[in-house]
Amino acid sequence: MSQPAANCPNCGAVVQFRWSGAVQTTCEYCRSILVRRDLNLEKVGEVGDLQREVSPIQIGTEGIFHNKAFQVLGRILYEYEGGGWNEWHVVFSDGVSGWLSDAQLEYNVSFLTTPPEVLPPADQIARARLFSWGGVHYEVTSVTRARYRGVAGELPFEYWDKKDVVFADLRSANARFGTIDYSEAAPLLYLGEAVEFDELRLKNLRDFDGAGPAGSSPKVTVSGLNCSHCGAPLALRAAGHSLSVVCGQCHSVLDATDPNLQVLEKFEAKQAIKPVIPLGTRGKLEGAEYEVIGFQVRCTDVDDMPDSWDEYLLFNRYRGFRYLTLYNGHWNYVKTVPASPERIQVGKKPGVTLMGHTYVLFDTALSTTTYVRGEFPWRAHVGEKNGIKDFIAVPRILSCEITEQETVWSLGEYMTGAQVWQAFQLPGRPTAAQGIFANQPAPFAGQASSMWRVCMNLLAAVILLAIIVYLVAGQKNVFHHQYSYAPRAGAEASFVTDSFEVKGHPSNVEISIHTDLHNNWAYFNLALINESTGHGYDFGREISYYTGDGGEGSRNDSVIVPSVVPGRYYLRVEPEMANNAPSMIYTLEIASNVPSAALFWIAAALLLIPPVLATWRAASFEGRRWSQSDFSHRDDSDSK
Amino acid sequence: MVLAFVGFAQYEGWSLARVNEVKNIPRTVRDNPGAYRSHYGGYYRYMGGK
Repeated sequence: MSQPAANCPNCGAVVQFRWSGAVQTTCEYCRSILVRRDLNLEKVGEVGDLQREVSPIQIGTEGIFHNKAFQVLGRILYEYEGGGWNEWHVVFSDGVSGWLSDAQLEYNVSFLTTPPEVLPPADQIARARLFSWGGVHYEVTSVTRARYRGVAGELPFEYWDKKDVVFADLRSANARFGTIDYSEAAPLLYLGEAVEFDELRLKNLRDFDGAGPAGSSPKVTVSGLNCSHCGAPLALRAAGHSLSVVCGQCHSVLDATDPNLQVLEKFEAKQAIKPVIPLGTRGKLEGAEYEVIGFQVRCTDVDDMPDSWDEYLLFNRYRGFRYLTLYNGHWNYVKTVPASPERIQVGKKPGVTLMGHTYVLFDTALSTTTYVRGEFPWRAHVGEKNGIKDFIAVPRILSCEITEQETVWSLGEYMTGAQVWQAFQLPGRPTAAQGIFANQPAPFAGQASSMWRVCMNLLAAVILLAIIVYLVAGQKNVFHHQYSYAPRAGAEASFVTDSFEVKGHPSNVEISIHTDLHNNWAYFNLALINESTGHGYDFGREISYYTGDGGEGSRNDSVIVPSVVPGRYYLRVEPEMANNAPSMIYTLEIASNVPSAALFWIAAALLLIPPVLATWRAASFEGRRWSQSDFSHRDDSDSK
Repeated sequence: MVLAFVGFAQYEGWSLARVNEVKNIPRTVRDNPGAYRSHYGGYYRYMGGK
């Protein structure tokens, strides 16, 4: 970048431009605002006292965005009811000018863009309005009336002594960001995207008492103050970011931006609630160290049953704010999402998509803050009400909080108490989790599907084994003969068959009997006898066959004699019929090496038990999860 | 394990079926089958038949 220079018309100091496109700059020595008329500088004003520097970014900070290096050259500071933010003017290595906004340590990079359509005037822009540009759907998430507080460094246009300015922030489902700037006569459109601190790979950041962002300790400066109501000592850990601080002694909510700590409100607490994680505790989450600076209790009233949870506000001087929520021993690590999800329908339930994930509506409630302690970057107070919608995609929970001023989306990820204790090195053990939380991962997640996969593979193996066994078994017919029998009182019916050979290894021998019975019955006393050893297998079979009324019975029957050792055998047969029964013709067939189908069915049933049990267990868990939602079937009168 | 068990059971000729086993049946039964008394003899006398 070329660096032209000129002399300040007010104090004569050398003013060096880092960027050739700069239209306005400020003199570092006398703080005059200087407009460049080429290299003749005209003083147009002075930079006022800017607020205490709390942003880690400063003029001269360097970073990377989409693999392009940039440098921070200028700044515009705004303030509004909910706090303040910086618009850092950045210039890339190719000379392109852009803006890095830094609001409560949430970062967005955007560029001046020609509006694809005529933008609505300031009095017609409202929250929830939708725009669609370049295939991206934007939603207005906030409309802010801000006060200009000052400028510094090099800017690409003339900008000073502004009064109130209206900004409309836009978000999309994939973290695209936009701002409609009403500081000029014609609205200006800036489009870009939200970025995480680490993605920018910033260097030459502001040095807060000797610590940097990569250090293990961001060294949050604790300001020692006293409560203006009761005089108790107060610790202000996020000075410059916090808007309110609550005195732990008298429960006064104080204005953290007022040097005199004006009392905003005072609430009566029936008892002091002691946070599980004490304020000031530091812990490591996502590789960064955070300090607990605030605590609040919120409750909802669903089905006339009050339900409450705790929220811990965490602060890192570079990465901003995070939250830990606690409900019945279930923890969630939460951060605000710089996006506006797209509404969809998931089956019969409403849902949203965000960053490629689909979330299903779990419940809707109105929350009320019942206790506050510590610091907050908003005017936290007892009685604060917010509408909340929770959407889940286990193990994540996406919450939408709606206030009069804005819609805020937060993304939480489930944590166990043990993980929280580990992160903050807390003594003792966490309270055991009770019940099932909305986004609690199922302890058996994935087990059922993996078990079914294994089961299917094993069933295929069983089928293959059955095929092999039936092919290899070598089932053989060893005997076949036809007989006739006519019952005669007093006559000896028994006889023995010719011998036959059962070869090979011990196997099942199947004896089949085929008759020509018709509306009659016959009984066969059978004995399979080894000629050599005299070992016999004794059994009987009844065969009956009747027509009429749909028929009953069968003319045929068979029996399996198990584990018959090889050898020569004969069959002793003794048929029986009613004395007056007509004669019967029947055939005896004997086969050896007969596979047992029952064993394969038993194996299949055994293999199915684990996946069926796992599926039932998983379904039971999900049923108990959703019984806590707006879609439970416990009480149809309350279902939504 | 289940597959191995089924394979072994098939080879050994195991089955769920159960029959009475009788030992030391004399060879004379071959010549005089009426001398052998089956455990299941006289079925119809007790059951009545149809």
